[in-house]
Amino acid sequence: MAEVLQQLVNAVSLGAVYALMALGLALVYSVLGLINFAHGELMTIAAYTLVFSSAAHVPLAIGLALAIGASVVAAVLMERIVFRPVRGSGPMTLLLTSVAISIMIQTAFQMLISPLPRGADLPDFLYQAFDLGPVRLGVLPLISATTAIAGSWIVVKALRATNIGISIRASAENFTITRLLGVPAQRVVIWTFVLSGAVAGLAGVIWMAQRGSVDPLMGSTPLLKAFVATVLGGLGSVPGAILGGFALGAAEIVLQAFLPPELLPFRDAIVFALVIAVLTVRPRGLLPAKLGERV
Amino acid sequence: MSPPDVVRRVMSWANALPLILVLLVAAHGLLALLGPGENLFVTTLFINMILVLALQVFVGNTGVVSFGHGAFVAIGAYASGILTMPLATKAAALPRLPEALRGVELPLPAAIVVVVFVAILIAIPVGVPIARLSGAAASIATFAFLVISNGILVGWADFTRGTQTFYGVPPLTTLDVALAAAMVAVVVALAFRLSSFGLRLQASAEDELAAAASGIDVRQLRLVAWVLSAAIAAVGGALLGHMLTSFAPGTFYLTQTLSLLTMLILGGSRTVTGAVTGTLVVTAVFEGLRRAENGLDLGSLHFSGAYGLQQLGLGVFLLVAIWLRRDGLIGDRELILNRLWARRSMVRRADRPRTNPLHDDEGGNNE
Amino acid sequence: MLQLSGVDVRYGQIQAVHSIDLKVDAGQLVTILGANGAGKSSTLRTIAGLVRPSAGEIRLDGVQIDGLPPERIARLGLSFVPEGRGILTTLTVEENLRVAAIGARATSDFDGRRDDVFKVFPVLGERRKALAGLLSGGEQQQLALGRAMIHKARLLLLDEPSLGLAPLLRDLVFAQIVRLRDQGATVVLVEQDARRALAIADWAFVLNGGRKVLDLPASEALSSYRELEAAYMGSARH
Repeated sequence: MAEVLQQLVNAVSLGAVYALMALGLALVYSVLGLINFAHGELMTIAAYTLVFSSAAHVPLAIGLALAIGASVVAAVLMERIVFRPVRGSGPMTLLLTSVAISIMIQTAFQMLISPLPRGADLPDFLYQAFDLGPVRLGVLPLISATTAIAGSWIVVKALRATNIGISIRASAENFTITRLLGVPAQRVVIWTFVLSGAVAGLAGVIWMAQRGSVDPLMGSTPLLKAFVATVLGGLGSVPGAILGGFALGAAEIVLQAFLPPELLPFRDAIVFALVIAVLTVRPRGLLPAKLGERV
Repeated sequence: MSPPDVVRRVMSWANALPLILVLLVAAHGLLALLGPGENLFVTTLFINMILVLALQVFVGNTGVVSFGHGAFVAIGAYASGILTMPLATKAAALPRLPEALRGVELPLPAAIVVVVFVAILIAIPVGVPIARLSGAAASIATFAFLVISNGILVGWADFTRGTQTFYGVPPLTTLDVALAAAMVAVVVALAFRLSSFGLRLQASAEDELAAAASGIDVRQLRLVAWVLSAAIAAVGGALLGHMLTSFAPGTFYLTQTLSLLTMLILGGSRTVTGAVTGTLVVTAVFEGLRRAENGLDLGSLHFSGAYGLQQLGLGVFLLVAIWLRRDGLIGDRELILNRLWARRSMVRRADRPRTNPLHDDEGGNNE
Repeated sequence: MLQLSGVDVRYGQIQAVHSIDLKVDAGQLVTILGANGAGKSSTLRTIAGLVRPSAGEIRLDGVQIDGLPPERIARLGLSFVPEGRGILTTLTVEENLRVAAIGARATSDFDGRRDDVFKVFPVLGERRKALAGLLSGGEQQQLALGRAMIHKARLLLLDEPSLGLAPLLRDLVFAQIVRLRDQGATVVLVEQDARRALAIADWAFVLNGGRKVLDLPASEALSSYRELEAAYMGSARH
């Protein structure tokens, strides 16, 4: 029983982080139909910012703010410089563009900083654990989970209640109609990237803390998880992305715990195979975006 | 006035002649330009072309970007390697290979046949779910497939030596072999694209609902394209393996996948001509940048190289190329013998109206 | 108030509208009639800014609007209800109105305007929290008009508002359109249901093959129905 609870906690913790990663990707896709291959790099940018600020002895709280700010700025710049000129192109062109910028950012990190990983110098207390009844809780997973859940919740709330959030949802469903109602398209797009960047920044910081280090290519794995989570949840659907993230996290934890040792190296392969199996039965994902959806 | 059927069939195979000619010219031209020492480079070029053509068969006809073909390239390389490896080397390199394979040593053509079979056997069950998904979801599923295949390659050490280098593959790929195979690939890809299979697929990529209403079974067609492209990719992979003679799972993972996709999309995924062009252009640029990385002499100016310059340069080149030609270098037209017939039967992309100022930069003038 | 001069609209190779001249005075209710493919929708979409004319000018109160992005044009007081109503189905009724308010930059006044809409269309008030996609055709039409009300639209472009609606509902919708005109809006109505449209309109334009073939008061159009038919079919020229 304690074992189950423990795994539950782990699943929630991992799932929350994946959900956060998927959320950022889903936001941009829902509005622009663009799968941002460079989303992982936004996370890396935040991670590097935090590492450098803590190396410069900047207080952690400020470092965090800087990190998230950096990824927001990067996201907005990405939109302005890279994606706006090719807007309206076919999905393949958009994809290739985001791939190009992803490669360039990774290479820039390798050239300007270092291809080698750099340790994150985070406070020790994060790596401790304490017991709560039968369950052992690590401080970092706990903080990651709560932050990730809080972050997702804030975004969902914002989408529901704020003017810009409603505009984003409206644009995601039908950009043309939304513009006909007078909503400024360009501003909506920028804010979408702002949100996406902020979420990516938070996810990047959490991811880095869990890995303990930062390197130029660290964005690839989160990107893949985010991809798979969004498709699992229903491409273009924000609640779907969150659900997909949790489902993916849960699947990984469950398999990690219950797979025989010979099969453990194949864990990720099996998880993805399961995802493909789910998609065979529900091609539009667990929580598809909408009736006339953008697929 | 439509020519008799026989003539048409012959004409349709002859359609590939212009492109074949391009390949021949490229091969001889490059060798003449770079010198016989660059044999390897030109061979690699044509193997890449085979792989890009494999991609084109699926991506160009279905409109779905596939990240998963690296799996089939790997299958081709590893399978052909295992089948053709001299017995002694095999015993040393793959000691735990199953009995049945340990004593097998096939010539290349036989190995290729087996490889194609294996690729098809794997492509079918994988393709069924992927064919059911649309657009971006399918693409991401192929990405998942790539990751799965990489995981299996790494984990199945008895067959692949896991993360360790897979060596001892006989160097059976010559420039002639690669060139010939590339030409065959061009013919096959073109034949598929211009066939009724291809046309129906392109129609459904254009407008899925309308195509379904006309009775086209999109899923089945996608599966056919997927399997065919997997087979071609596997053949290319086998040739790749026999050229490299040693490789590891990472050879067939993200870097290769993205490079091939770049070549295809930049050239224009819709056409075989685009696939060929894209391969030539990107390979040329990439190679040029590689040499520049070691320092470049431009007249009396010397640019010292830098690590990562090749990647960065490629990224810049890509972005510029995309800005200049939004939908690939080659638009919709094939360089084929019989443009007239082909154009009449080819599905024309519906002309887009000058609508939706969001697509221009109008939208930016707002706030 | 609205003036089109020599407007051409092309979709790639196809020319949908040929050199059209239209003039609508403030406060008028004008209807554009014609068979399918005559260019009626294209005309409206071009006015609304979804399509840029390849030739000619469009002026709203003397201000040139062709080439402006649709959201700019909407904020100048033009509301376009496209064919099919264009309801945002994944948002609630109230959120649909809210988007209109955001677009009209009237969010501070939202409560007041929204309540006005609910007064005119009580069913929207009852179903304010419902997903707009679940509304019936007639209710969606009311929502579309409600959004135009939030915008305090001075010029209302309606593309086939009666499409898909039962005859009784059509009468209701047309009554609402008249009400909006009476409250000061100028209305341009594209309609298949010529009789009903002419019954409420002041002026009528008939299009055929992308060209304007008739331009006359609605009452005249009603009384000379033969001529109208001929115009539809293409044998009349003015």
